[in-house]
Amino acid sequence: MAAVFSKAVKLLVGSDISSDPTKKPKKRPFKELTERELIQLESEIGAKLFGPVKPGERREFFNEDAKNWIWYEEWIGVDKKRQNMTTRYEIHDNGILKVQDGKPYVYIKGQELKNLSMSIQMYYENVMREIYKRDHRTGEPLN
Amino acid sequence: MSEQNNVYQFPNTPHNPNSEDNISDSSSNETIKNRSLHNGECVEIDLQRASEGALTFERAKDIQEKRNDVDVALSRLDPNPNLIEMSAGLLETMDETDLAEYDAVKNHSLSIYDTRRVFLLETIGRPPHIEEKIKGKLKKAKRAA
Repeated sequence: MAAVFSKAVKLLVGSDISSDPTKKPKKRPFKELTERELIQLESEIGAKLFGPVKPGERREFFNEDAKNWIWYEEWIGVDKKRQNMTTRYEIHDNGILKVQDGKPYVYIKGQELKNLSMSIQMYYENVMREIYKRDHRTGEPLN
Repeated sequence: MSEQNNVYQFPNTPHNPNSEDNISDSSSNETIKNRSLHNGECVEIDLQRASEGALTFERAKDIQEKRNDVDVALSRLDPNPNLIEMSAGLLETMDETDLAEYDAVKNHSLSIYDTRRVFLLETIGRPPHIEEKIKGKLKKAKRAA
């Protein structure tokens, strides 16, 4: 009987004992990671791609959905006031549209497109490996 | 991932583009070999070139911001400034490299999203009737124990 009980518990909470953030359900039975929480975890990795963030600053870089990438920066301006900037990169059929508040939309190209591409490539590789435990080349689960 | 941090540091924050912090370390010119794109194609990434690219990106952004300021000023005169950008003949101005980069972005964008959906479904998005079944089994097991 103990074996059945143990199997049922395993079904509910999983059997992983590692301490990485995606295994939260182990310590929080029945509490689920939401899509929003997954995006936050992804963003922690995405922000690191651009180097360390200074104290008082904040950075987010993440894939929001199939068509949108978000880059958010927050910092203290020279006037000591908190500033922020959100850039949305929208994937359209004819290019990538850069959308910033109060500015005309522009399709990016050249170096900016290359840098975004490289960032997304690194994001993809790291997120696949560190959060979803999958091989970024094949999409297969890592052993 | 310290090596990657140094390399992919976009040494820029939008508030202070001329800060000394923005000078990236280009002394590293190692090459990561055989990094693979999602489509299986192997590429080499030259780290020094990537660092220089980051600086170029910063300069390009400065220019872009100045240009945007002008555009914003002009937009007060033009009823639909976005149309100018939209009809600028994007595809004609993009070269083959640009198009390849765009494809890479598009592919990765779709893939990470798909993976997240699969993860949600496989790990936490159990349909309610399955959830009930598991709970029922647990209850039975507890009673039996």
